[in-house]
Amino acid sequence: MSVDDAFLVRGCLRGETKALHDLIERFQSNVFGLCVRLLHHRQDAEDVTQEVFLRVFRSLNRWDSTRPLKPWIMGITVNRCRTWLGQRARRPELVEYLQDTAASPKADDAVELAKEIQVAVAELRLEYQSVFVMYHEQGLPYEDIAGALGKPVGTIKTWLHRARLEVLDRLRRRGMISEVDDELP
Amino acid sequence: MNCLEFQELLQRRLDGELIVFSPDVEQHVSDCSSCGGLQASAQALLDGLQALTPPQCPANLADRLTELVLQDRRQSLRRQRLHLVVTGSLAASVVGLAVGGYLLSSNRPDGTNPPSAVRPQPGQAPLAKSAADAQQALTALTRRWVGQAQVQAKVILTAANPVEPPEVAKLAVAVEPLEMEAVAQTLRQTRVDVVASVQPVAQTTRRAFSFFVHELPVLKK
Repeated sequence: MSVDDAFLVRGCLRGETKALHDLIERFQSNVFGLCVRLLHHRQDAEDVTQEVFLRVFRSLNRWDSTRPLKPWIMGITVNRCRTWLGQRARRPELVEYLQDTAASPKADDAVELAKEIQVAVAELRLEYQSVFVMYHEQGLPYEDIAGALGKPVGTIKTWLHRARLEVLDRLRRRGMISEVDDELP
Repeated sequence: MNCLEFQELLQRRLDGELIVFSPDVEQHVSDCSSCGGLQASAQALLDGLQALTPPQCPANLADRLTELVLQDRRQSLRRQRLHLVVTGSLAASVVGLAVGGYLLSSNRPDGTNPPSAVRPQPGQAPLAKSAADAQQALTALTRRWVGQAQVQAKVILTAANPVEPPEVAKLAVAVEPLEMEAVAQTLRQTRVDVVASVQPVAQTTRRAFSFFVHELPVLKK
């Protein structure tokens, strides 16, 4: 755990409001971003983000200070998203994604490709989605993702490799590949 | 180079490693349509990931979350204080009921005060005197119960032998006082043991009640 994280945690345990605010600011993008990707709904993501931080601060005095803080928080995030998905009755329409990207006058291939990747990732099982987003979008290393999900590093690598193959397969089926030698069934 | 080896190379490239394909790899890609398609898809994926923008947090999210956490902590503190007050009140109620039960049921025929193993001294602190009073009450109550149990035991033993042949009656007369004495001795020892075990509990409960009544700031408001 970095010195900054340890300093922040001590301040939070002493009840310092500024430390609370700084810790939330430090991790809110990661937590909210993962919630959006897993829940595919901004309002749900905001609600779950609130739950995540409430749980973080309620459990902060029981947290093992020898372990890094970010994977612990991301692990709570994945668990809360899993619980929320189990309770939700319906899935939101994928039109949600269009609201996240800026409109452009003509079709932007890169933006279109990014949207297709989001759609492909949304179709993965929850564990694969979590690993893919944490690795490719948030830049967490394998060890941190393994710590967050409570799995061995080898399992995380396997999940990520499978997730990539499924996303790649979808991109090919959707014709998002600029050069395709052969049509694949 | 086979397809599995090529896929492993591709995964490492997607991990961010700088992988330069050797001529063997290039040859395999051009020869294998499946791996060729996979390589093109991987390049598209890398391009798309660079264009992917992470979701933007709502405005003032950190401020709202901070206020939420502070509210949650205040509510938790209030619940803890309420829990302490309720627990202390329950403990005091238990002691009060025990003492009150003795006062309501006590009605000694001879009108004398029950003896006590501990008598409060003239200069003793109020708390110690109160504890001594509670101990006296419990001792007297226990002694009363033991006495009643002795009377009932005698009645039962007498009723159990309504008709005694002469030889058995002589034996019973010789045996009965010894048996009753053993029973009485056992009951007296039981009384002593009960009093000794209850005394620390009564003292602790009394102290806890006094603490919650006089010391907690929340009750002084």
